[in-house]
Amino acid sequence: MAKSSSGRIIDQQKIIFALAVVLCLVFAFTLPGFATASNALSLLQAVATIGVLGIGMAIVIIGRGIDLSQIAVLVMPPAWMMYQIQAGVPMAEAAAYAGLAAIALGVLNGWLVAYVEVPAIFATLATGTLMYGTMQYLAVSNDVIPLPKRLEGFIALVQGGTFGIPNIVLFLLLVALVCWLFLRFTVWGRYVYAIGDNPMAARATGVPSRPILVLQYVISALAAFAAGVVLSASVESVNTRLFNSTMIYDVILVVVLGGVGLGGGKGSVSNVLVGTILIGIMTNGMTILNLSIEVQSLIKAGILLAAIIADSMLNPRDELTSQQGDI
Amino acid sequence: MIHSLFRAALAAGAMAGVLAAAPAMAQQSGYTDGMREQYRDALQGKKVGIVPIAMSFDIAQAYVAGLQAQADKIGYELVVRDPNWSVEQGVQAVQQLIAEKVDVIVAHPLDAQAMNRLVKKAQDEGIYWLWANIKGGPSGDVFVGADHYQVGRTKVEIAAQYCADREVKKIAMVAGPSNNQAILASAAGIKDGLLDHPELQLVAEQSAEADANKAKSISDTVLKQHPDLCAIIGQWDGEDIGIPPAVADAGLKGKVAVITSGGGSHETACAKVEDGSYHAYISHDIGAQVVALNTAIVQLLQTRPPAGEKPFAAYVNMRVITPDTVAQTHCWSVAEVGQRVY
Repeated sequence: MAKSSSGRIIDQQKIIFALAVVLCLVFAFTLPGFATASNALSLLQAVATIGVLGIGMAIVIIGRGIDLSQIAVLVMPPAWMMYQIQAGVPMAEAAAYAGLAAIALGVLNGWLVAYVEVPAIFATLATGTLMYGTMQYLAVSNDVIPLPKRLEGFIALVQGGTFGIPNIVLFLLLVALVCWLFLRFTVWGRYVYAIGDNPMAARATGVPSRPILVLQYVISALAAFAAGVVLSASVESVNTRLFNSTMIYDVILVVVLGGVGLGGGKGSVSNVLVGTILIGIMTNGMTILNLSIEVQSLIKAGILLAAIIADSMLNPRDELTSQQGDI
Repeated sequence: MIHSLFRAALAAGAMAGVLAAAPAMAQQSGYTDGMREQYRDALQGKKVGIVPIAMSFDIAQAYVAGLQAQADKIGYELVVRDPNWSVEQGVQAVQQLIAEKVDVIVAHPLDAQAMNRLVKKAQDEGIYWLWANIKGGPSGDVFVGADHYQVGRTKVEIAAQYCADREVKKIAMVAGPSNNQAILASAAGIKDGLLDHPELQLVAEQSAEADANKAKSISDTVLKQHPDLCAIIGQWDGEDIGIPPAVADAGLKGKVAVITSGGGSHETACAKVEDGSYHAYISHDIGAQVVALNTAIVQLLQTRPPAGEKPFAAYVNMRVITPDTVAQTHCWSVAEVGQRVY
């Protein structure tokens, strides 16, 4: 948290925030219907899932890792949960089993990275496919699963609102608050920064690096699972084909865009929120402008590239602690 | 001791065989209608290969269940190769089937263009090529499927009817992935349909890239912009399932017609029209497609024309499922197709 803005007057978060404000003003004056409360809420609603995934991802990236298995956890355990509920398993029990599957994958990721010392990018790439394949083989035979009728109450809750704010946006804010408190005020949260900043020094000073690494991946998996369950209620179905999509890049986009350095040790939940909101504003504005998907991808890619360049200029590699081969 | 027991058993078995066969032989009438033997001999022991998009969704499962049911009944082999959403794996699977010299290949491709080259290769080997619902460049021997172009036109007609009484006739389109030939054909149909209905104003056309959540947020945004919208045309039910929640969110359920299309299984089609999610669902009727595919296999293997000589198409009838027709419409399930209810 303190790291990202330490001593700098202009950091990436501020640039992105300013960009978001400028875009917002431009759209507000040029696009009729953009600057309304209801459009603002629908904009946030659209990016809530990406935001929750991004927060989970940010914790891993701050600890100098990456979690490419998130999309597998986003779709497969919730899909299995829906199958169980369809088959008559009590809802809480089904959610618990599916949640345990997600946690198990988080533990496996953490174990591979922390104890077997496999680079995170390869470990999580493999475990994501493992999760997808195993679940597809054992439990999830269809890839679009309509939600069981029994979940009507839950669907209504997710699609509903509280004091005019969509509950799905409140869900994003809740996850953000919990993770912010964790990173900012708990010892384990501070350890995540220590490990990300300088893993050797952290270990030498007695930080329990390995268990903390495992914890990071478990948090990321849990965030993905929660996002998956909420997403499925929001669109009333689980679509496991998302595993084959480029969604993970969108997640990395909001994290990096907000200014969480890929080198680790830098950034916070607020960075992710700023990145998420910018992407939300852009997507919303481009939809209102009715731009084609190709142009939209081009603009998003350009912005990601600019963010990565800004990241490497504003957060130059520390020769003492960076290693070649880090992501 | 054991030896003599074994002998006794053999003898008893032979006796029983003779006794059982005698009355059966007496009952044989020697009936033939002139076709049954030809039908059986042409098909028995043959090998049909199918390469679906992936075995993890209802359409492919229904194809396989229906094709398997006929193969079991007649006594030929059905080989299923599942590329699991991979274009490359699909191409490899077909190449493998050609190398194994199967008699018929049924292709239900993710990207039909990737298969184009293989059609001729298969036909050069004397293998018949059947396209299921999605057709590439070469016509192969048979195309069985929906007339996707007409499906597109019909969607516009339905929207035009629904919007007829409205003062403002605004519609939006949520497009699907553009590498799918069925979706390209229906997009062309929609475009031509809109030329016939200049009163319809297409205010947004956005691609959801097969993602229901994207379909939802696109619809959310468009409905905020145009609360007087009267219809949203989707292209594929798998992603369009995200549109009705957006309509409900905007408090416009019953005021905005959601029009989509797809395989037409009970869960994805009839149930969703019944609960008011869709105003119209155009079913590609996979049950009827399975019947046509099975008939094509039977016909080709009996008549044995040179592969590729006279390609033909069997477009199945479109089933337009609306709240008015859903009670009389039968949506299929994989189990029903497998039990040859169709």
